[in-house]
Amino acid sequence: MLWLCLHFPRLPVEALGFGDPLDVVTDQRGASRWLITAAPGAGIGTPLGAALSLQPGLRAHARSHKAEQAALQQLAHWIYRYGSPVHAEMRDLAEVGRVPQALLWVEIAASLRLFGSYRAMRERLRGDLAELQQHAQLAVAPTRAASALFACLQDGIAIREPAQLQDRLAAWPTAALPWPRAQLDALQGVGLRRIGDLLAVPRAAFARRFGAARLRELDQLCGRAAEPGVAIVPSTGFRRRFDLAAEIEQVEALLFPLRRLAFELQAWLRARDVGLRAVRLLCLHAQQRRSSFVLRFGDAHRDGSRIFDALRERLLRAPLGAAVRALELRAEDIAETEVPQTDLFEAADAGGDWTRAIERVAARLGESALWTPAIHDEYRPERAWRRADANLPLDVPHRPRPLWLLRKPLPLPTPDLPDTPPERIESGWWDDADQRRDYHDIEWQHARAWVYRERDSERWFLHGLWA
Amino acid sequence: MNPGYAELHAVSAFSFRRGASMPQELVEAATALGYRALALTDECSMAGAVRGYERIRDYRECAQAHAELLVGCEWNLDDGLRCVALCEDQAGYSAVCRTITQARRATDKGAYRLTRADFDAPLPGTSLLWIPRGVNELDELAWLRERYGGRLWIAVELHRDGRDAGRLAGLQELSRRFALPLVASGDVHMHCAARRALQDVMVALRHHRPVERCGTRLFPNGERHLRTLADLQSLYPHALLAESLRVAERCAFRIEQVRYRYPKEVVGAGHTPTSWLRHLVVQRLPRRWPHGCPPAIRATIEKELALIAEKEHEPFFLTVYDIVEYARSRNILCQGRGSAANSVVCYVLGITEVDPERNQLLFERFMSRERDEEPDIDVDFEHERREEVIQYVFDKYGRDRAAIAATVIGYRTRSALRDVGRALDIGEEVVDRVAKSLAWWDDPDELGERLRAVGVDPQLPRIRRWLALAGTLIDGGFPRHLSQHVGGFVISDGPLHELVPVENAAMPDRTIIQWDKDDLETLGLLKVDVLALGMLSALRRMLEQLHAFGDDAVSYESIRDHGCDEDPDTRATYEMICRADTVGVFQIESRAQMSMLPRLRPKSMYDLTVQVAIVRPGPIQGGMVHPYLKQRHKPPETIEYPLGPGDPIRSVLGRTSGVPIFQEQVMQIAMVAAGFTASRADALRRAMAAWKRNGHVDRFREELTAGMKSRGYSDEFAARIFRQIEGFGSYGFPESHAASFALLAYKSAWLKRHRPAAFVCGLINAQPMGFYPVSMLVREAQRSGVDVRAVDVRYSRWDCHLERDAQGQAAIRLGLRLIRGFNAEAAQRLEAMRSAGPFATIDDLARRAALSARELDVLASADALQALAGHRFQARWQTRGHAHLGGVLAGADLPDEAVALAAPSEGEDVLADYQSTHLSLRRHPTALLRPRLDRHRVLPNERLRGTADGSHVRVGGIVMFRQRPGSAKGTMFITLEDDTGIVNLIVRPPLIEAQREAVVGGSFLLARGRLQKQGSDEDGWIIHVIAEEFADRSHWIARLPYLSRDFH
Repeated sequence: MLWLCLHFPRLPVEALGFGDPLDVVTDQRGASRWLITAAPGAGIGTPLGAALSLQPGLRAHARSHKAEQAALQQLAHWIYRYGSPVHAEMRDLAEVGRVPQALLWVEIAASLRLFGSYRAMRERLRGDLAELQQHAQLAVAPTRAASALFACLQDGIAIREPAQLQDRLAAWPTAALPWPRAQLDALQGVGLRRIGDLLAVPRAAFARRFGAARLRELDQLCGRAAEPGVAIVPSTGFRRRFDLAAEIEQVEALLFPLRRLAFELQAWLRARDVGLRAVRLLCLHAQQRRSSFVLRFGDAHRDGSRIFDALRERLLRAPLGAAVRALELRAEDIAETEVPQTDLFEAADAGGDWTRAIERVAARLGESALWTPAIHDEYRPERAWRRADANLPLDVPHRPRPLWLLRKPLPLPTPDLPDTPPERIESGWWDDADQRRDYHDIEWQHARAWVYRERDSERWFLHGLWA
Repeated sequence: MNPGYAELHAVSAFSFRRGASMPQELVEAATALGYRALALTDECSMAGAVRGYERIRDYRECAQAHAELLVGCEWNLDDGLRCVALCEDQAGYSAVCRTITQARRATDKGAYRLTRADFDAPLPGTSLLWIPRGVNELDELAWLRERYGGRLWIAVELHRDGRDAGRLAGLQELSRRFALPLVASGDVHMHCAARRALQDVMVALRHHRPVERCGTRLFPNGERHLRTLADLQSLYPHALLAESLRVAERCAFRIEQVRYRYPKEVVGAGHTPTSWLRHLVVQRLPRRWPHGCPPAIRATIEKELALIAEKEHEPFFLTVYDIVEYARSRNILCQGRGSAANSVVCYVLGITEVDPERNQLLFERFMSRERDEEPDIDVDFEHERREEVIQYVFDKYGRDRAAIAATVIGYRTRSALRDVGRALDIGEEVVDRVAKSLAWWDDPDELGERLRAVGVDPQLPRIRRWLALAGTLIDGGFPRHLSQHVGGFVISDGPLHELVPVENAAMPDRTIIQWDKDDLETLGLLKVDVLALGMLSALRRMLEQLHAFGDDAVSYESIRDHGCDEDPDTRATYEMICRADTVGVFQIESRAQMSMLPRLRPKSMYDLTVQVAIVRPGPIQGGMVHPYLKQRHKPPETIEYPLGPGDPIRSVLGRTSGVPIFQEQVMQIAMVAAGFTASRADALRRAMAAWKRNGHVDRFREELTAGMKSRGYSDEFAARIFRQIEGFGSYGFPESHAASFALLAYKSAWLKRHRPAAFVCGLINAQPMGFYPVSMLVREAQRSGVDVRAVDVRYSRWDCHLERDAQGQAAIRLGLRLIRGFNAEAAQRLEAMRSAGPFATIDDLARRAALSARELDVLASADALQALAGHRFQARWQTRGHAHLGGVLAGADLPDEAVALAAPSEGEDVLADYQSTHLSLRRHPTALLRPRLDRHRVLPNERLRGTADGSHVRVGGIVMFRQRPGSAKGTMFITLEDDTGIVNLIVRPPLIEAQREAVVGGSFLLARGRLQKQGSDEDGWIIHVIAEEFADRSHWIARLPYLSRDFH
């Protein structure tokens, strides 16, 4: 075996999509926060407070495990072209001040021949990495553990002969081992400074003090023990093609294959225990032309008839421009955990009817055309309601407010006022739109109007009309 | 016609996270608006009442009309019922205090819980306002009317929320139905409308969410302020406003009517307090003067006793005496200070230690007849044993008669920025950054610059709002919460909760009253301060070590100043002090004190008293230090005073060479030079003590300047005196404090000079305390020739102790307490088992002393197992091997292959020493770096003394201290230690900015700079290096723990 290991020291920041050197990512345990990516003047592991006092311009972001995993997965799929099997690990020691290691391994003994030489392969890899704008340190060694150790230490170490491995490992400090700090300190405390010192200690005596697991890790490092692990298999996602027997122009005639695809997708989703948030339908026409659209769902689900309904509504609203030869359905957006756990047999819940009705309307009118007014917990009338997702329940305001509220209040001459005290609203100083107004109801052009006087300028405005 | 108005429902900032104005602001605004009265009705609290009254007192002193301040509180019962209780008389006040106490003690600190059951028996002497909430109205009113009929009102609170008309009509209907009167009130939360934003912030803090997400949790408008009478008239029917005056009239109780009675049990049977005090004094006289009391002293005692009798303060002195006697009986060192320390009676009773024969001047200034001043005694106890004294007080008087005073924790820069930042949703990161960089808030010119430096744009409206609101909290002295005073006890004859509400403190089984020490002083409630002082613990431990060593000649009492001329030991002690050889000595060990010692050259207790008092932020900011240095050697008759030799100021300042050093001198100047009456001077003193509290020293400026001018002093002189008054505000020492501290300074200096081993041993055992880390104390001992021996399981105890060296001299054996991660219980087991027989092996040690794997490893890391296991690596290897044998296998021997481990290098050992004990008895880490330092042409610190003033030098070492005192205008002081000694660096702000990384964060620094040197070989040297450039070499000692103590 010959493992190429890639270590991505900037993955946490790259995964969040930041490119500026002053953007750093921090990890947190209890009240401690520390840098896990470096910035000019502040190295990894630096406590955030110290880093900020050194480099006040830093912008610190909390790390996202999810984004890191996703980024590493993507890289795993990319590295396949260099060999297999592929392993990936976000190695996290979960200790204050320690930095996670984003590691990717690919076995290259077999594929080296395809590239001709390691050098050629490395050049290709570097080229790819530059294109991906991904910063990585590379190392090659006969064991996964050793290649990772080297990749984290410095870029470019390559040891291809198993016989050399132990000697080359011996000189490195024990502090480089990915072990808990307490154990590294203990090694330091008994003067075992280099990996070679460790290898020289009698095995039983070592195991007694540092545990059998550590001994096994040492063995794995040197290639004396197997390195089990689950290799990554590229996932294809859901993508089903349905070739039509003939070119079809009528939407109605497409419904059958559509239904079938929708329920295949349902089975696929259930098998994987995931939910669907968006689906793409691709239509293949004559002369290799294709058209497609994406449908989004209000919540993640795995309901075949719901997928089918949505597809049908969409096609009925905007029929196809040309005859179709084949259909392809793809799951565009998969949600891992958001599917509500209904009963065992996935019977549709009662509340789903409203959601589905809305989906149907939305599919007909387009997504942005449908919204519901919602109460926003605010005193300033302009901000006391807002457009909300049509799926949200309706709310009732606590104070009488006209339903017809002018988008922009109209200046008014001083009106005749009834002899009742005004409603005074003074609020909003925090966002540069402080209002100090006295609101009154008056008769205005045969309607009841809602007017106010600005307390600072003493000017009058019409703000709304009562129904 | 204007009917007038009394606001009956107002909460202040003492209703935490509700009110947005201070009580005094409410009083001022109510007065300015022409209100007849204002009821301060904080929610289940009396904590703000006294501050409101202080403002009233000011009005009275200046004979100005003012709004009356009514006493009451608001309650929200657990079922929602809301009411305001107003005190009509003393009985009503007691009932309200009792109810607050009950409600507060029924639940956690900071909260309260009141049920209808608690409220079932109507409170006597109170008028009650029912505050309608729009729900459950009939039930609430019926329930209350049954209990408070005839003194119950329906509060009508109109706030222009658009529903006023309906609300008024509804309440009028209820009023008819229940035959209860309506009264106007305001539910006031702030004194003026401009506090609306701050009030919203308070609401946001209460709900733990940003303002913009508080929505309708906020009030819809800013109407809950004190409104003008005209405004109120436009809202309320005339009769409702008039009714407020009728209620106010009923509520005649004022907070200053609180009457306090001393406890009685401190008086012996058959005696009056007067005769008992005299009896005790006479009985104890021979202890102080075995050969007969000098007639002059006797006369002073008679004068004092007469004065005490006239003021009826005997029980106070007897109470303190009782506590001190208890401490003595338990061998707890204690010593009193405070204005009563100026009293011979206290000296005779053993409360204080300042000898009247040596401090004549002090004793003439015991409580004056004219000033209506309460005696003030603070007693310091050993910090480790103060709890015993506190428990004694609780046991003796019972928990309902003794409680600890509160400390109002006010908003400081950091907490204000943090809280307001939370409310405005400013990221925690930004808050942290700004709060840290604004440790020097007081310079507003620098503010913008400083913000930009940390990446915050001060022009952004959001940032401006944030700073402005935080500034209001800080400048207004807003309270954040109540905490426990360090040791101020209030003890009363009757139950305390009838005097002042009592609530839970954060510590279990602790209760605090709702007033702080200034409140107590304002109302004349007596407080006994039971304080903790680390140096007393250290002194006891030093003496214990000496006695255990067999040196019985020295006792706490025997160490005293016998005069330099008569006693060579005394002289030697002062000589050491003059050399600034004072590491570890009480009060005079800081960098600032040390740099002053060779200049002031104290040679007597009085010099030492001045030394203690003068190196304080007050005198330094007031610019007193240089004039004093200049004038102190002049003959008294040559010192010039503004009005010449006959200047009355001379009588005040004569003893301090014409410069005010002590706090009370400032008051005396106000009296003799500006014609202040005794009570006005006392008001000035209060303002000085409390200027943070209300910033009212300013009001005295004109009065003082005018008074001095009319007596012939120049404006400039008056301005200088005033500046000194400001400087003294919170930092000046009264002379009696300084004198008491000087005594302790002398005792510790004497021990340092004559018993250096015991001195350092006791200091280490009393850690944490003082200024210096243990490593520097140890080096100090070594420097004075004491053998210091490493931690060793064969000999070490938990504490450090004295052993005899080859010459029979005392040597220090370091204790197990220095080992990080070890614990006293394990040490106890270890000591007990060792006395049964020495340990043979590590297994033997582990088994007999029942040490855990961790404890063993910690001992090995400290190199304390050398005798049993060889060098540190071997020891740790062995303990680690042992560690995995527990449970049923304990005791069994498992075969273990022998492993030959290389011995640690010297560097590794030094490093491991520091990691385990923060010190090393091997070479200093810098000694190992000396070749590298030489290459960089870095001078060893000991060579600085022989280098010419003004030379350019390079120095280096481990950073031991960083200090940035407020009085130094941003300058930072850094102390570097190398193997030969220390060097003090002065770092100016531009350099701090330029090399922030090194200056703020470095742990090993090289510095280039100019040497500044004053002194002589006999007197010692004051050496500084003005830093010009730094090189951060922290990585040279990267694995050394961070040792610097940083003070900001």
